[in-house]
Amino acid sequence: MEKYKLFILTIKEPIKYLILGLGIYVFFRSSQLYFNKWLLNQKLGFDLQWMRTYTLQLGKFLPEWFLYSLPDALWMISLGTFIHNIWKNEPKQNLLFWSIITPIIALTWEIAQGMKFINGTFDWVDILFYLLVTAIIIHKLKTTKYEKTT
Amino acid sequence: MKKQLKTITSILLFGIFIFMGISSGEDIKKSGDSQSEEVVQKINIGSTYSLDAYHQIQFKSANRYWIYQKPLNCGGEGNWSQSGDKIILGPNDSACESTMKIKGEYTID
Repeated sequence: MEKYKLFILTIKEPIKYLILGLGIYVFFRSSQLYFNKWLLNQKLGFDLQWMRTYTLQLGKFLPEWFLYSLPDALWMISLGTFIHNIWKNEPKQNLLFWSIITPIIALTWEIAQGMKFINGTFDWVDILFYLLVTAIIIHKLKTTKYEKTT
Repeated sequence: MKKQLKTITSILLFGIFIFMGISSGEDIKKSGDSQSEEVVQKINIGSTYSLDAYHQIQFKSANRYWIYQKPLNCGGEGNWSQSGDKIILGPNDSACESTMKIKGEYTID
């Protein structure tokens, strides 16, 4: 029971961020995205598509940062929180090592898009959001009580 | 959790999240209304199409359609969208039962 509770506590927060980010993708973004194409071809695809006839109209009134940058930031914070929750009871250097990988991946991803190494559009607003999430991760690291290094 | 298990879980998570990042690709454009951009490729806004022997459908805008049936002289409006090759017609406000039942998934010939 204790292990189950610990597991739920580890995944609860990151899953919350992930669902929020995916929600923006599903309801407000193009059906030409790989993820949306796959999802809309599943059993619940018709109902989702029907809901999208309304949400896509609402999306016209939402700012670009909400539609395009916030999901990426939520993706990053979800991964960062997952890693933090897994390593928070370990010695400081372990937590620091694993936590720093998340911002490195996100920033490298964006830079690779800018250099056309991978598909996607480079956007300074994305970088700004990634830096904001990095600040949140650093704040979490600072407020974490670490295990003593043996 | 044992350290080894934590390491494996973390590596798996990075893999899953990178895969999710790749899956979020292939967007048409980063600006503008993505839905209407898709739609323009298949449907001419303003054009009228025959749905069956009785019903005519006109795509009034990137999200609104108007449907009309001649024998009973009734029509209605509703929302529509496109997913790949499929056209999804939402419910319409027609007074005729057969026209109301038109909502659903269609492909363009």
